[in-house]
Order: sequence, then structure tokens, then C-alpha cells
Amino acid sequence: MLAPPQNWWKPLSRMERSWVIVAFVWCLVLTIMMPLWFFLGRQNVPVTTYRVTQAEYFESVNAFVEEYQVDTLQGIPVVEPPPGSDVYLLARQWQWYPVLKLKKGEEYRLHLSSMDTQHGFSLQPTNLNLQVLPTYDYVAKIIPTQSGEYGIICNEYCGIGHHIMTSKVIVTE
Amino acid sequence: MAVKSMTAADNAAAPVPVPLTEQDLAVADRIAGTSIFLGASALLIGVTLGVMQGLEHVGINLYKYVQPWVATYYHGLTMHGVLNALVWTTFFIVGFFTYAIVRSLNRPLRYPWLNVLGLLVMVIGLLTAAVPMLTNNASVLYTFYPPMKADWSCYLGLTLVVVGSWMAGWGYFFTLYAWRKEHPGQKQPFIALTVSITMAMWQLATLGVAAEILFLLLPWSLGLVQGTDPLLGRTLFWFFGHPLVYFWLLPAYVSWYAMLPAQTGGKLFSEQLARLVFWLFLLLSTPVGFHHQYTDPGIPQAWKFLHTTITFSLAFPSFLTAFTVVASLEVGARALGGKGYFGWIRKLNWGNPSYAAQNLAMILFVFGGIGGITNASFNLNLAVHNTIWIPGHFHLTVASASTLTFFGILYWLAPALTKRKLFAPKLALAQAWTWFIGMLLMGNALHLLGLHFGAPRRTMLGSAPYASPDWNPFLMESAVGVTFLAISATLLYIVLIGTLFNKKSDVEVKMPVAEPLNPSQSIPKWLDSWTPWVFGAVALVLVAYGPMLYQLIRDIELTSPGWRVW
Repeated sequence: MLAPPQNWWKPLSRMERSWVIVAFVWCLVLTIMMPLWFFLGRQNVPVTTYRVTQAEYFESVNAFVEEYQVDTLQGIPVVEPPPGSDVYLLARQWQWYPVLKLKKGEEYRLHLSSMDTQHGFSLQPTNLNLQVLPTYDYVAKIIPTQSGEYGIICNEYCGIGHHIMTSKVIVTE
Repeated sequence: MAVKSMTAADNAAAPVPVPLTEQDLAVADRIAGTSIFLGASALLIGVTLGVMQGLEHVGINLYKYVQPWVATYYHGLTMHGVLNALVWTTFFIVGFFTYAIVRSLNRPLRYPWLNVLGLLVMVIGLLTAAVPMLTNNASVLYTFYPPMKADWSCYLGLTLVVVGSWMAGWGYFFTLYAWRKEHPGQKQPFIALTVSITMAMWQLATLGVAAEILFLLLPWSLGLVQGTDPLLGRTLFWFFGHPLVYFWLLPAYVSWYAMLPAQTGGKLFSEQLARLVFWLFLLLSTPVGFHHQYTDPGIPQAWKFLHTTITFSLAFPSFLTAFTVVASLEVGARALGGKGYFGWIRKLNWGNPSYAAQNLAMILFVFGGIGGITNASFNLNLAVHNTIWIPGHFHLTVASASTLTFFGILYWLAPALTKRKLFAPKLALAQAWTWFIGMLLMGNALHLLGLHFGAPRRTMLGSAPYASPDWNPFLMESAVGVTFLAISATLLYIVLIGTLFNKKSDVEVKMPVAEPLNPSQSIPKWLDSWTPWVFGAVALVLVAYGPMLYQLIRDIELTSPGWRVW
């Protein structure tokens, strides 16, 4: 039988010990900041997701466009839904459909899904990014806080026309 | 007597150590040399495509000159990612490890045929995947997100590369195991241990991508099932995708801890802490993948948050590395007469290309590490997700911290393998510095473009209608960086090919091995035993991934048809 070792941890030198403590505390601070900011910050990852078939989602989008269309922009309908309602945005090769017209300071439930490959919803130039997957209906609660025209681009590779996939959101007073 | 001492009979039970002969070394070196040669060849094509991408962003379209070899920007981008991030890294790492482990243990490979077979499987996989990739039948980028559908042979080829690297790992495990049997009671040599830890982490991590390909993508691309589930695919991919970056990084850490100090007269400052760092990487590397999926639908926040916390625990061993490695180098610089708080830095071995390249890689990794913590932050990620900030980040990590370190290793390893002198060491030194400057400029520009303007990654920016004139100064800065990198890559291949054809040298180049500063420091048992760490790693993966994967598989709907849209 062997005697158990005396030290389970050989003492570190003073400098080393201080550094280990500093590094550990710093990691702790960084980690704690995240849940804190989740409650304090105004921009967080959305939580709601539904499974849909692509046909179902397409139907919802068409019904939405039919009900609230107010204009047409380069062949794509411009849709102005009432505040507080469900807003549908569809990503496909290689466009966002339809163009949204929203009111400043009102809350909307923005639905995102794709008809084909994965896409990336990117609001320009304010930097808001969400992954768009086919057969998943992703719902984000949004409140536009500034009026103006915002671009939407695709920031997930979706094929040869990826770089021309663009649209806009119009926020009115 | 209560405590019985070891008897002579116990000692005799241990098998006799197998001596390392010239012939054994020749076998290991042949495997290492072939593997590294293939990796470096892949990198040559990969960096050329990278230069074309950088120039496209400022309106210089070179693709028209390379028809039909590189059909489109995205065809080139796919090959750039696969060749650089998967092929160059994996082949270099397997070669480097094969060379290092036999020398660290002073023992031949236990089953050389297993390592030869591993390399063979990797090569077959590379050739299988190369056919659809070169012919533009698999331009799905290196993350191959479903439901974009590549040719089945691409998925099969990539799987074989991974399986081959598993076999290389098994070869190391058997070798280390045999050494332990022959040396009962002795601590495992640092390099052999850390090489094996890296490969063990790789075994666990690659289970995700293996499952994705075998159960989702192969049956689907062969037409056996009609659709796929994009979220399950992404989740299994990132199960592998994040530990993949530690698979790139840990070989650089092996060199920084255990070799680099010896190249500047230093010693390994604290072997105890260094071992702890590697064990922590084995424990924590895999259950972190959801931090690539913060903006994904269908994954509850609690799970995303758990993975965030584990990711931030991983920052801890990297902070420890910063301390121990710098301290180890400082020991060397002070021994060479370095003085002052910062004055000692000038006394480091800057004239040696192998040393300089690795030290410069470390400096870039400071910025890469800070950016990585930003990406992994639950809140900040929303602002940079999928923007060109991300390529800016990983060009400072895999393309600098790892790749520039690997160049540095090559500057002693290529002469060691070929038994020839390094060709034009001055050019090699210039290569390291131009790579450093190039990556610094490009990394800075891409980070700022992503953060300030939300410019997208993986995009043919030079042809994007929404590209704003405000982006131009940054795209120009990036293009200047790319120019430096193009010069650097040219120098690299001049040095490497020059070395290959240089005349034979009698001076034997040995693997640098840093001695511990305090050789009498004994290593506690828990820092030398595999069981707690391996079980801990598996348990943590089960906790962090089990319930979510169970739910995704239970609710699987294979309803997304495949798309070929490039």
C-alpha cells in the first residue's frame, strides 16, 4: 500500500496565485454581466418559436399582405399593419417579402421564416441580427424607436444571389 | 511494517521499455512529412483564393481570369474555408503530433500501421471531397448548413478526413498507454500528454459532425429521405464547430508552453498550471456550441445561457496561458540580460524566424481572444452575429494564432524532417512580420466594418448594391492587409520549397523542449490521471446537450427539401 500524497495541490508562487485570482474574478464579472444585462438591456434574443410547414407560413404571409397592403415598391407590396399586430416577413431566393411600414413607438410581433435555405435577417445600419430557418417560425417582439427608412440585408450565405438580397423597413412617426 | 514498499517482483512485472531506433523515427517522420506536405499544398490554393476575395471587396474582380476553375466568388469561398480551416489545420496537426509524440516519449509508435492507415484514410477522404468541391458541385461553404444540399461525395469525403484523424489519435493513445505500462509511477511527459489530450477532446467533439453527416446529410443527399431538419443540423454542427477552434489552438499551445521557451533560453514557468490548462480544455471545450446559435429559433434561453457560462469558464485557462507562457519567455529574456519592466522584451530571440513568428502569433491572439469573448457574450453577440466582424475575429485566431504559430514550427520542423538547412532565414523572418502586419490591418478593418456598419460576412461585397461609400476606407485598409498577406504567402512558399531543394545538412535539428523551471516540483496525481477528466467531460456534454438534443430529435420533422442554388 502507498501512503496518500501529502499535498493535493502544490502551493503556487505569489505572483502566480495573484494572477489566478485576478483571472478567475474577471471571468466571474464577465459572466455575471450577461444575465444582468439581460434584465437591464433593451435588446435581447427573442424566445418564441413555432414549427410550421413552408406552405402554412406562405399562406399566413399572403393573408397578411392581402389584408394590409397599401402600396407597391419595385414590384413588392408595401404593407402597413395596425400597431400591436402580427407582422410576417418571408425570406426566399433572393428577396425579403413584403416591405414593412411600421409606426414609431408601437410594439409588433415580427414573424420570420424562410421558403428555401437558411437566411440571416440583418437590420441596417443599427445591427440587429437574427437567423432565419425554413420550417421554423421565429417571433421577435420589436418596438421601432426611431423613424426613417432602414435597410434589411441577408447575412447568411443563401446561394449565388446572396449579396443582392435586400429590402427595407419604413418607420413612420 | 504498515506500509509495504515495492518489491523487485512488482518492478519486473512492468514490460521492458522499447528503445527508439532510427528506423522507428524514419517511419514517424515519413508520416509527419507527408501529412504536412499535403496540408501546406492545400493552404497554397486556400490563401490564393483568400487574396482574390479581399481584392473583390475593393472592386478588383479576378474571377474572370480563372474560369471555369473557380466559377464564382462563393465557389472560391467554399474552397478557401475548407482548404484552410479544415484541411491545412488537420493535416498539419496530425503531422506535427506524430513527429512530437515519439520524441516526447522516446518510444516508437505502438502500432505504426494504425497511423499510416489513418493518414491514408484522410487522403482518400480529401480526394473524395475534392472532386465535388473543385467542380462547383458543393459550394455550400465550410459549414454546409442544410437545407443547402451538396453532392453526397463531399459529405462522405469530409467524414473520412475526420475518421482518419481519429485513427491518428488512437495511434497516440496506444503509444502513450504502452509507455505508461513500461514506466509505472512516472508522470506522463508533458508534450505526449498534451498531444493526447488534444486528440481526446477531438474524439468527443467530432461525434456531433459525424452524427450530422451519417444520420441527416448522407441519407438525404443520397435521396433515401426527402427532407432535412435545419435546426438539428446546425446544432450537431456546432457541437463540433466550437471545439474545432480549440483543436486548432491547442497544438499552438503545446508549442508555446513546451517548445517556444527553449527557443529563447527560457523554461516552462509552472508545469502544474500548464497541465491544469490542458485538462480544463478537455473538460470544457465541447459543451459550448450554443454560443454560435444565440440568434437561432427553437433553443430556449436557459440552454443558451448555460453554454455561455461554460464558454466563459474557458476564458479562465486562456488567461492562465497568457501568464504562464509570458513568464516562461521572460525567464529566458532575463537570463540573456533583459532588464526592466518591459525592457526584457527586446532580449527575446527576435532574430530567429521560428521564434519571431510564434511570438507575433501570440500578440495577434490577444486581440483574437478579446474578440472571442465579445462573440460569446449573450448580449453583445446580437450586434456582431453573422457580420464581417466574425471573419475578422477568426483570421486573428485560426489564421494567426494557430497558422502563424504553425509557420514558426515549420521553420524548425521542415529542416528537421528534410535534414536540410532552412532556406533564406531572413526571408522567413520577413514572412512572419508581413503576415503579422497583414492580419493586423485586415483584422482591424473587418472588425470595425462589422461593428459600425453591420456589413455581412460571406458576401461578395464588391457587387452588393447596399455597400455604402462609408465602408470604403475600411475595405481599402483590408485590401492593404491582403496585399501584405499575399507577399507573406509568396515568401512562405519560397522558403519552404527552397528548403525542400536545399543541400543536405549534417547539423541535426532537434525538437526544442522547454525544461520546467522548477524540476523538483512534483505533479499532483489528479493532474496526471485521465479518468476524472474524461468522465467529467462526457458528463458535462450529457448535461449541457442531452435534454436539448433529445427534444430536437423527438420533434424532428424532415420537411425541408434540399436546394442547389449556387
